[in-house]
Amino acid sequence: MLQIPCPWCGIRDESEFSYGGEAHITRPLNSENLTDEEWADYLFMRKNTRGAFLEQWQHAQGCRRWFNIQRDTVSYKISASYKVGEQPPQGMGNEK
Amino acid sequence: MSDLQNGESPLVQIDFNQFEKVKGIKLTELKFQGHLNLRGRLNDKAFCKAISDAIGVELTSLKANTFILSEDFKVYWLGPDEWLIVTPPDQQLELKNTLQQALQGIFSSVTDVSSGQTIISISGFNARSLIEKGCTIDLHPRQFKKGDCAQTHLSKATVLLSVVKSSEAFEIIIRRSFADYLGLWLLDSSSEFV
Repeated sequence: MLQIPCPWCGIRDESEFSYGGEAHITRPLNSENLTDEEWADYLFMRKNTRGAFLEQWQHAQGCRRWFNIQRDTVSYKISASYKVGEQPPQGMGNEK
Repeated sequence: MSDLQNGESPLVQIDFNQFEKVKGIKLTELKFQGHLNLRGRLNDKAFCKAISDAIGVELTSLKANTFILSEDFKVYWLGPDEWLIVTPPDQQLELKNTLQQALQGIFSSVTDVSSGQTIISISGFNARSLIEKGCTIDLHPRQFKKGDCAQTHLSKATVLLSVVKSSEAFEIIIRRSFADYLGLWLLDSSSEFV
């Protein structure tokens, strides 16, 4: 089981959390001008990164807050955890 | 009408007498306490002042995953903008009205959730061993001491676990619909200490 560091509660078991997919996806402001392809890209297309990946989790059975972590999808090592609205630690980011 | 007049708690079907033969564990239900869920923004000075005037607690100094006793009220940290206030039986309405008046015009909410949950108090030298059977967080006093609380799982049921006395006395706040299940689980799990 993963041990996930919640920015508020500290390290807890994975069973207390729910997964929220890729982090830092922003809703396009001009949605009325987007083509179907661009809108589908925002809605459905996600990365399938091998290696360091920024993703969202919710501490569903704890403080019920959303937050982001950086997890290596190969080793499952979690190297950063930060609150929603904060930027990832320097030099980190999902590839465009 | 409050539950007090109806006289039936969520744990009414659990036979607490059975815990009397369990060594090192004293288990009781704290029935019909008032539970108020409070939400608001910590960076709103008017909100913090209204709360501190009403119940004498500085929310800004209440650390994450701790609780504090103020006069008759217990205030638990539930989240960065969410707290639980536990009052003695039948005082929740009065406190709710006081808070709602004090918080008029301030972005916040006070919700009476008293009938939705109840409190189980577990104490004794085997209390920690009993809870550890179904809980994955470290309950050793170096990690989880008096004044700490944690929202976590106890045998898969979502609970708010708090330490009244390090390593010896705990309180579990459990939702009404899970209370019977947890009561039976505690009874089953404590059979080893009989």
